[in-house]
Amino acid sequence: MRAFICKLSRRQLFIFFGIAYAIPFVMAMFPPLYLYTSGRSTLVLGMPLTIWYWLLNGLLVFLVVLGLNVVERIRGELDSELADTEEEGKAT
Amino acid sequence: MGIILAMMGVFYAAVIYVLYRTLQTTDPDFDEYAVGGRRYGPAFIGMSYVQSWFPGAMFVAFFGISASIGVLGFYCLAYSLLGLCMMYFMANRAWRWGQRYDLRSQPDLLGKRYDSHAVKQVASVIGIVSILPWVIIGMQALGLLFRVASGYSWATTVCLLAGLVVILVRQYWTVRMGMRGLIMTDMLQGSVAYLVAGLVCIIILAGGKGSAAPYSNFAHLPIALLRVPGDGGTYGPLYMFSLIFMGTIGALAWPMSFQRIYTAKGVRAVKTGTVYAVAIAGFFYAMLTLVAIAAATIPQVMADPQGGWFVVVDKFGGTWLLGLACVCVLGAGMGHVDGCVQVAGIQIANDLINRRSRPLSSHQLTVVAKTSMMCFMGIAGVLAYVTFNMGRLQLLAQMSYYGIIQLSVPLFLGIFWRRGNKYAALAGMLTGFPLAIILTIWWDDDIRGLASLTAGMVALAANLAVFLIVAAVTGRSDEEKARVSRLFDETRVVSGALAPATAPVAVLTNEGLGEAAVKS
Repeated sequence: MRAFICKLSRRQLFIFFGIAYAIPFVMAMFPPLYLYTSGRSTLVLGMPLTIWYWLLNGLLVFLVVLGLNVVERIRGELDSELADTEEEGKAT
Repeated sequence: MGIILAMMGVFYAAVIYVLYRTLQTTDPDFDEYAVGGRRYGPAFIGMSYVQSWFPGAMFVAFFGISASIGVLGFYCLAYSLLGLCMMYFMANRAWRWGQRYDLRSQPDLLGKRYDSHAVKQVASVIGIVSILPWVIIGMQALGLLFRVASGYSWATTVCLLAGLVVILVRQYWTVRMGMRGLIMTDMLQGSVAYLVAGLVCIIILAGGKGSAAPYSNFAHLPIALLRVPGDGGTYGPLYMFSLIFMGTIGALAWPMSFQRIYTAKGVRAVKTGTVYAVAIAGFFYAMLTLVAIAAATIPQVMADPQGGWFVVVDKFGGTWLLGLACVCVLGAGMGHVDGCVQVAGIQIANDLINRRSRPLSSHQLTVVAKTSMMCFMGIAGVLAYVTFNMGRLQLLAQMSYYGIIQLSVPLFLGIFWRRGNKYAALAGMLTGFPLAIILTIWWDDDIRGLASLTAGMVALAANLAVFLIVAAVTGRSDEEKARVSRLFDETRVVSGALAPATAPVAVLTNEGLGEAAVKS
């Protein structure tokens, strides 16, 4: 899995996470979607569908940013700044 | 009453103790004072980010919205989480430029990007002016908290003065220690305000004996609580969109939120801190909103939705839990006001008083920042007292929100687009900010003729249009193109330090999604 993630290009990652971020973005801001789910009182696990819609929206945002962080960590892209700061004598 | 006040007192003493214990120097240099020496890891950054985002009003005003209107309350969850992610996308350029050029504030970054002191000053003034109403409201919210804690037995004026004294004494440490004091106490205050409060909400929803807002209440909610604005009623279909869009793009327009980037020890800390912040904010706000909606049919909550948080915890856990609920509100309120006052002082000293032609020494900057914080606090304290019963203050806060998002155009386009210039940034801000204020006077909520778009959205559109037109008309000199290219190239770095040896890519560029978006 690590090797697969490292093989991906930045463009591929951008497309994947761009679409992933766009899904909750559109869910929250595209009126036909949120108006379609408005007022849905059908119970799912004891809670109305409308409430699940907004909770799912929040969960998706979290999963996207978590996934992006994990992928960047695996690719070693989160640590590049440490080398820079050490070189410049500003490492903490 | 005594128990609740004692619990608040113990928490307050714990906050002061943390400040005493973590005080490292009584004479910090300005870098230490403004950005805490850029040395904090993801846990501190994450909690501090949430503290700058969620004020004590979450337990009052936002609880009230959810308890009285229903799922509309989730708009704050959506924009908060989508917006908090913006720090992740901006982290690379914002932190690198900050570290390389010793930037200490959001206007500092704008000044550097556009190579203009005027852009820096205008952005700083917009930020400081927009923060003030929130400090006033934060101080007044603490006054209301004392009304609850005193069992509604203290006079309004006494409660307000008590709230002011609490926050003013707390501010002594913010003024003395600067960002370090803020970051240290944010961890304690935030843990109580958001994590403990979230757990209390789960317990209430679990429906133990005496719970007024158990999970089972969701099965019997009135349909009106499940409808969003635009689905019937008087609002148009774009109202919900306006609220969420403004919140999302305005996420890092707030100076106190943006400041957190510069306190981090690296891009990793900013990005991982953002993941923590999204998790904490999502957990807290989702739980709070669920409790509010589950409690919506309680007669006492229906009569006073803004006091609903206190009603629910009092019914469930009595005095002790009510005391804990008050401590949660105190933690969120103090943390947010602290962040506002700190960043206002830093911006006044760093962006407005300090000039290229007359640079102040580190010591002078620190002194000016401290003095500015005290003046800012004093003005806010007086205004909080004078305007305590002024109904229109909420409008002022709304105007400030519509105003602050005008910074997002030069900020986002400056970080992710090379073609913007100082003329475009200035013209855009000077169009958007006054227009937002003027439109809000006529349409303080929504504009029905525009399907319920808000005044802030219209001003933002005008700001963006002016920015793009002026950028196209004025263009950029070859020298400016080279300067901006150098800035952008500085954030394209060789990476892959931790990539496995089998990785076929020798060079990876550390670009965020937003940067890639502009390039593609």
